[in-house]
Amino acid sequence: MGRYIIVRLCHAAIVLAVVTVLVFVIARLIPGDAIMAAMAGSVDMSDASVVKTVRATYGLDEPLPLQFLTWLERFVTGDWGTSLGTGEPVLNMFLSRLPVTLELFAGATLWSLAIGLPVGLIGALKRNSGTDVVLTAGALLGVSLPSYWEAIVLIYLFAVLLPILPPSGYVPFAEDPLLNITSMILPSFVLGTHSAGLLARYVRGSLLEVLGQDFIRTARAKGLRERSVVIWHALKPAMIPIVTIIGLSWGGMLAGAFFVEVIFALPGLGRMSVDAIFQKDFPVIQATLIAVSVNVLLVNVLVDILYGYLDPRVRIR
Amino acid sequence: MSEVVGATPARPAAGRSPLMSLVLAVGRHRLASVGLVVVALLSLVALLAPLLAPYSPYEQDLYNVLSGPSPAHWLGTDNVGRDLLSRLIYGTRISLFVGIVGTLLSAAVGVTVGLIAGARGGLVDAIIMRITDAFLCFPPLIFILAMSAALGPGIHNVILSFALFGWTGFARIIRGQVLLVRELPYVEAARSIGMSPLRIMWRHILPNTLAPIIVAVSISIGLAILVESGVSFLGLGVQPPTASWGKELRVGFTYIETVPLFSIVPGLLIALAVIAFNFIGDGLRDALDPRLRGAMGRS
Repeated sequence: MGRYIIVRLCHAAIVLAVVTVLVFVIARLIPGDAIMAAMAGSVDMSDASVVKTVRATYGLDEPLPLQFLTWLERFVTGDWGTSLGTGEPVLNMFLSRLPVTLELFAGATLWSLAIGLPVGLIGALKRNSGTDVVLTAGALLGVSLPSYWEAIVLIYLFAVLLPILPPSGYVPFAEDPLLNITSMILPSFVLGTHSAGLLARYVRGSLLEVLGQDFIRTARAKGLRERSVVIWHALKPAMIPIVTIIGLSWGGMLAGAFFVEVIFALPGLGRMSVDAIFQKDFPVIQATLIAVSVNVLLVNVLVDILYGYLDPRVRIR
Repeated sequence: MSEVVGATPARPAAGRSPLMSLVLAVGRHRLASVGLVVVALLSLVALLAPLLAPYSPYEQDLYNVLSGPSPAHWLGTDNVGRDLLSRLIYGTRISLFVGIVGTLLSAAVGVTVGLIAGARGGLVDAIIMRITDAFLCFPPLIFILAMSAALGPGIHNVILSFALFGWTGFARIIRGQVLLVRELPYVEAARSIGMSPLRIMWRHILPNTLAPIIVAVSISIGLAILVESGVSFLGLGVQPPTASWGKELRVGFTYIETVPLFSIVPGLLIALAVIAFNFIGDGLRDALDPRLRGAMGRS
C-alpha cells in the first residue's frame, strides 16, 4: 500500500510539472506581451523608453525559461502576482472569493447526492421498466442540459413567474443566514444537476454489474430476500464508483461555476476567472488554472488511494 | 481481415457488415433512435437553412424589436428587430459545424497519440500518458476559455482550442484498446507470419478499437456543441452579427422578464442537440458492449 501511494504521488508530481509548463505557455500565447496589452490603456505606448521600463519592471525582457523559473518560484512562495484588473494581490483576491465558491460546491454536492443516488438505485432495481427508461432519460437530461439555460429557466420560474426566491445576488452567511441560504438554492441546484445525472448513471451501471455476479447469485440461492441481497451484498461494492464521481465532479464544477456565478451574480472564483479572461488579466488566469489543476490532481490522488483501500486488486497494477 | 479471424470484442452477427449491424442495434434502442431522428432533422435544417429561414438572419426591423411571437415572426424578433426563428435556423449551422469539425480534429489527434502510446509502450507510453493526464487535469471548458482569451475570440479559435484539449479522452480510450487487442491471439498470429507492425496496426488493431471511438465521437460532438454555445454565451465565441444559439441565449437573458421565449428557445435547441448526441452515444455503447446486451431500454 505504501509503495502504491508513493507511485501515485510521483505520477501526480510529474503531471503537475507538465501542467505548470502548459499554463505558462498559454499565458504567453496572448498576442503581444500580455502585460503590454493590459497596460496599453494606462501608459503612453508610443514612448519607447516607457515601454522598456514597463518590460523591465515585469521581467519581460528576460529569456522565457528564466521568466518561467522566476514565476514558479514566486508562485510557490505565495507571491501570485498582482491583478492587472484590480491591482490587488492575486492571492488575496483568490482567498476572498474562495468561501463563496466552496459554499456553492458544497450545496451542489448535496443536491447531486440527494438526486443521483436514489435515481440510480431505483433505475437499477427496476431495470427495463417504464420507470427505468424515464429515470435514465432524466439522468441524461441532467448531464446534457446547459447549466446556463437551466439557470435561466429556473430564474424565470422561481423569481419572475413565482417570485419566491431571489433571482441573483449574494449575502454572506454571517450577515443574513436565511437570505444566504435562499439565494444559494437555485445556483447550487443548477450546479448539482450535472453531477447528479452522472452519479445516477454510474450508480445504476455499477449496481447492475454487481447484481450480475456470482456472489449475488449465491446470496439469492441461499434464500435471502431480494431486499437483503441488495442492501447487504450488492450496495457496498456498487458504491465504489461514487467516490470517483464526487471527486471528479469538483473539477467539472468549477467550469459550471463560471456560468452559474455570472448568471446569479455570485462573487466567487468562477466570476473572478471570467472577468480575468475578458480583461486578459493573465496573473489571475494563471493562478486559476494552477489552482484548478492542483485541486483536480489532489482529488485524483485521493481517489486512487481510496480505491486502493477499497479494492485491493487495484494496488497491484 | 482475410488472414486471421479471431474473437473480437464486438463481433457482428453473421452475414451483416459491422456498420449495418451497428445501425440496426441503434435503431432498436429507443432513446438512441429518438436521438438519430433529432440529429437527422437538425442536419436537414442546417443544410437547407437558406430555404427554411423566412427572413435573412441579419435583416433588421428597428420599428419592431422584441415583438414576441406573431404570425409574421413565429418566435418574435430580437433586440434589433431581426427574426429570431431565422437566426436560430442559421445558428444550427454554427453548432453542428463546431461540433463535427472540432470532434473530428480532436479524434484525429487523440487516435494518433493513443495508437503510438499503446503500440510503442515503455517510456514513450509513460511520457505520453503523463502529458495526457496533465491535460485531463483541467476541465476542458476552462482551458478552452483561457485559450480563447489568449488567441482572441472567434469560431475558428473555439474549434482549435477544442481540438487541442478534447483529444485526451480519445487517446486514453485508444491506448486502452490497443493494449487489450495487442495481446490477442490473432494479432500474435499476424506477427508470427511476419506482418509489419504498421500493417498489423492498420489492418488488425485499428479496426478493433473503432467501436469505443464511435461512441466517444458521438458524445464528443454533443460536448463540442455545449462548449461552443457556452463560449459564445460568455461572449468569446461567435462574433456579431453571426447568429449562434449560445449568443442568442445570452442576449435573450437580458430580456428574460419581458420576452422569455427569446432565451428559452435557443437554450432548448442547445439542450435538444446535446441530448440527441448523448442518446446516440448511449445507444451505441449498449449496442457495442456485449455485457450490457439486453440490459438497457430495448423492447
